Amino acid sequence: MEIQGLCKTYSQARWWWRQSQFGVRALQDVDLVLKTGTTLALVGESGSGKTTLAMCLVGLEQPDAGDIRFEGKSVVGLGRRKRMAALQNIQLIFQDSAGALNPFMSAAEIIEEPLRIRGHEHKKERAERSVEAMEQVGLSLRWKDRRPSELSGGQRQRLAIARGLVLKPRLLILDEAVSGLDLSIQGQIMNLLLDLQAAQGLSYLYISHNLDVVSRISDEVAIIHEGRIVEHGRPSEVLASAQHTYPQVPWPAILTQKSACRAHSGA
Amino acid sequence: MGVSVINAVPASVHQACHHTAGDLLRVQDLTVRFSERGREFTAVDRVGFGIAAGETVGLLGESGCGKTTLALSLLRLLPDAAHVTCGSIVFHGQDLFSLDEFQLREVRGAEMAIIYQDSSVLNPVMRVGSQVSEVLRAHRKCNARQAREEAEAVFAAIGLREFDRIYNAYPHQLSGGQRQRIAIAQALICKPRLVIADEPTASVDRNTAFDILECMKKLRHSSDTSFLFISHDPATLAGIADRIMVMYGGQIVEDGPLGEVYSQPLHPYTDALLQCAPQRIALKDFDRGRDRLPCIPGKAPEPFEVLPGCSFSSRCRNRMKICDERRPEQVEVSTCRSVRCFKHEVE
Repeated sequence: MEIQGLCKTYSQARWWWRQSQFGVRALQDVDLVLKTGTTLALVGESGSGKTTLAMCLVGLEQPDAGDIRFEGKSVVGLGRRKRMAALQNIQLIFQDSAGALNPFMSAAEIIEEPLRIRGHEHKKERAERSVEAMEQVGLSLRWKDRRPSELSGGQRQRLAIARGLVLKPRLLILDEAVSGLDLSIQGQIMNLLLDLQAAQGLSYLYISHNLDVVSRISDEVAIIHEGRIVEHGRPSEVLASAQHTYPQVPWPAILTQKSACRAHSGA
Repeated sequence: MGVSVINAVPASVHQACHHTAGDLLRVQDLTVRFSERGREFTAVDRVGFGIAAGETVGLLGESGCGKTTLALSLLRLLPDAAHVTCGSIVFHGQDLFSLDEFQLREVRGAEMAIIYQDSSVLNPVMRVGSQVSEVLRAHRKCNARQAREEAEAVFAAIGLREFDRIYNAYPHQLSGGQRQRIAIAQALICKPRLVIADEPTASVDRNTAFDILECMKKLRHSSDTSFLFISHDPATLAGIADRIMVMYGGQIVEDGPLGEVYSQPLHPYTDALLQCAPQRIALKDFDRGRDRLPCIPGKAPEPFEVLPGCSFSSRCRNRMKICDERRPEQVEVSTCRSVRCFKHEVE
């Protein structure tokens, strides 16, 4: 995937007494390259344009200028049908899995829905593929008929990932996909993503506001600030130089020391 | 510091009695049960603790472990489906369960206030200024101008600049961080004795959260207000709390001073949770092809399953036979630390 000079401006709401002159520049000249089978982390504070970029990549927003190429083909400015065909291989997983899942559908229906939209007619085939996707993300099949409200946060996130995987995409865009989860579940989901990448050669665009976490699991890190990419490079380099461009809250020192309990428990 | 685990002495079971004298809040044996569609489950299970005046206590636990239910039961704001089956809450010399609804209104907001997780508690069609001063005017006799002056002082203390603009704004005109600060101002304006902060920084990004926490830290040094600070993130509590209570499956599994709990966790859950922070992994040591991020395998028990043993036993690394047979009691390991684990119970 290649992104060149992407720009997007949101015009402000127009009131009858005041014509809007200013828009919000969400993205300004964004250039990024994501190689197959690697992970790129996009880090920025809230309001820096991270989610707008994700929306442009999956065609939910039309950029004002610039080009997005996926596997050599441009995906900007296509009609609905062509865009759907071109973007088959890109899936977006939203931040808030509870809000992104239809509360009236069962887990199996949620996973099957993208297949139905893409015109997979055979009911049996759809069921098989949804079972496969559930197995991939480690979601027990007995949750198949549950609704999202009956699942825990970690299970819902797995369900959202399963829905993303069922079309067998090559690029997965994860918009803060684990930041709402508990610490103990966060690690489980990230390990799952690492395993899936190793097994299927997926590429990830990982969007987050937490530099510390994503730098452990990505090949490259880009920092976005007010719609511009201000830093781009290997995680270790970016972590070292990001103190100026993206100051991070220091991690409390008391948590970085190895706890003494390890020695006691002797495990 | 340093509590010797080997010399652990079990003392009063059931009760983590630290500051018996001068306690602002004392909760004993509190049990809250929910009945839903004919099924019953225990959300808070025999919880006992005390908060001294001016103390900040952190309550750490995963989602669904009963943190919020505990917070709501302190204010007696539990939903209809929940009922307290046993226990007592004594706040500032008053037994909260003996008060009627009118007396409770005098306590809520004025003596004990709560800050909710998201700022959607603000009324969207009311200016935030009147929502803040309303709290004061409900409890104290004062006119609009006096209330506004009080609000100005509180806004300054929690880091809200541009007082005039913000005071007259509607919630949707403010950013998420500003809205959260308004919710905090609402809780603080009456100068209550106890503030329950239920994940006040969960809905804002990390740098804003840090600013808000810094302001709250200053506030707590300048007044003798006690805080009960609820969070799922050990890092949030690290800078602010004096004491940490770790909650799992409706029970308080560990209780002690922050420094000791974080550097020498006694309960296996606390230990495992603290290991989960990705920041602990040195960047150069982590190989994505080979290494995995630390996590606690499995998941927390469903509320409806009733386990005979310890609620953490299925995820515990040091599981023993006894763990599945009966529930561990709370054991006092030293004067101010207690834990609910068989490892620390003496035969």
